[in-house]
Amino acid sequence: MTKSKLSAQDIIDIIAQKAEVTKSSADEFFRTLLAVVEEGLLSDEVVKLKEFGTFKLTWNAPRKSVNVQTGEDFVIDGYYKVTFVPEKKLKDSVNEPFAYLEPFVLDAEPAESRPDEEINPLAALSEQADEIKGLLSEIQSMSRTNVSQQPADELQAEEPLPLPADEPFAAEETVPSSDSAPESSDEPRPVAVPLTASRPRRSAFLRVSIAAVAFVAAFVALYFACMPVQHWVNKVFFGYDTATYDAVHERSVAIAEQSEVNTRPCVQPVSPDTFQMVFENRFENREYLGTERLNQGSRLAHLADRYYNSPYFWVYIYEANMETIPDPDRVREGAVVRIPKMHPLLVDPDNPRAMEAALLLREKYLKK
Amino acid sequence: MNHKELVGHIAARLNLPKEEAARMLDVVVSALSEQLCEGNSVGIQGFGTFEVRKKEERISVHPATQVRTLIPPKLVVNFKQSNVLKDKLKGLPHD
Repeated sequence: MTKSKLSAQDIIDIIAQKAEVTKSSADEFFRTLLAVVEEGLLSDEVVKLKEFGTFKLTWNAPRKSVNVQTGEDFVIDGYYKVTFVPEKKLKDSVNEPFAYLEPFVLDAEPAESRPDEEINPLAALSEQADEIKGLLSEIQSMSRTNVSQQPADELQAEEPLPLPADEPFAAEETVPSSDSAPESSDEPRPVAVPLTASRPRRSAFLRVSIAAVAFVAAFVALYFACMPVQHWVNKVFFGYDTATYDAVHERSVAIAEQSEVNTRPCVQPVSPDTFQMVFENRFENREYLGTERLNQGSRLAHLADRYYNSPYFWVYIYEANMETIPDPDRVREGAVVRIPKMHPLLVDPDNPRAMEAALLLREKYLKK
Repeated sequence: MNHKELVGHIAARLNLPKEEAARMLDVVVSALSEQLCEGNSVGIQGFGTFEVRKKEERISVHPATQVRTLIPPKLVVNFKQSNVLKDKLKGLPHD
């Protein structure tokens, strides 16, 4: 494909030669054609040339712009533009070199082979989910027991703290703390009878213990509500880090998943190999759909696309015509190729195995 | 203006029979097409330039389904009007 720019004169020469007329008359015709097209456009019409395309006018609306030098706004006037819309035939013939390419969906799920593959993984997944659930509940119950221990620890840890303010009770404190449970049931009484001599002491102590319990309760609530606090508490009081534990746990889950992925290929059943048989016997009892004469721009992929509905199966055409086509990349113009009749299994574009086989053959032949 | 009318106009101007004009027009069209198919660009003074441009491959995303598709490269014909023609069109009123 030599890319060069031709002038009107070159085109006129070509026309003269093709139509077998003198150059001057070709020139006259060409100029008249252009003049007529132009006139048609100027009278606001669409001009259609058969098998070539359509010329038409499109209106470019006025738009605002900014003068780069001065920064002033100005309006670009609206104007008509000649657009050329090529007809399908011209479009196709120009796009011939890329015609065999097709849009390729990247995100499509591999729809085949999926259902039989999915049954077992699903079972494995639910098993795994159960396992994870068990682990999670274990962890939760663990942290709950931690918490239930915690108030006891904290009662001892926290109670002395508010007490130093009320020093007189420090000595007495040890005695009733052993039976703090009955005291909580006595709670309304001290409040109701605050006048007796021993009562103020007891009520003061009660207030302190209630405050301590409330504090612990708040702490426990915080512990459950807030993950960072939980981590911190676990770290400080129980000497292990839930965060790291979680990480370790997640890693083990990930590893489990990975091993599951590794087992997946084994799960895939080996389909009965009629395909393999058909593939290996493809040279036997060969019938032909027809013959094609290759001309300029012909490609085996195009032929495959036409006969088998997918350009990938050109390899089979090549296999049937190895003696006429020495190099699949450079087919000779004028060569006649026979189109073999293939088993439908082999040339099914929806069958991944057929595609795989075709691609393997392709690699084999292109390497040669 | 369709193909037939175009042929009629040209034939009237050149005092040619319509068949001859149609034949010549076919030749012109096939000559231009051939050149374009070979990847050549054709510049016609006072009218415009026909050229073949390559559109690179791209990935398009379906707006609704988000499915990405690889669109293969392609060759397209492009026509660019010449400035002479553009100036001629400037006088046209816009409705």
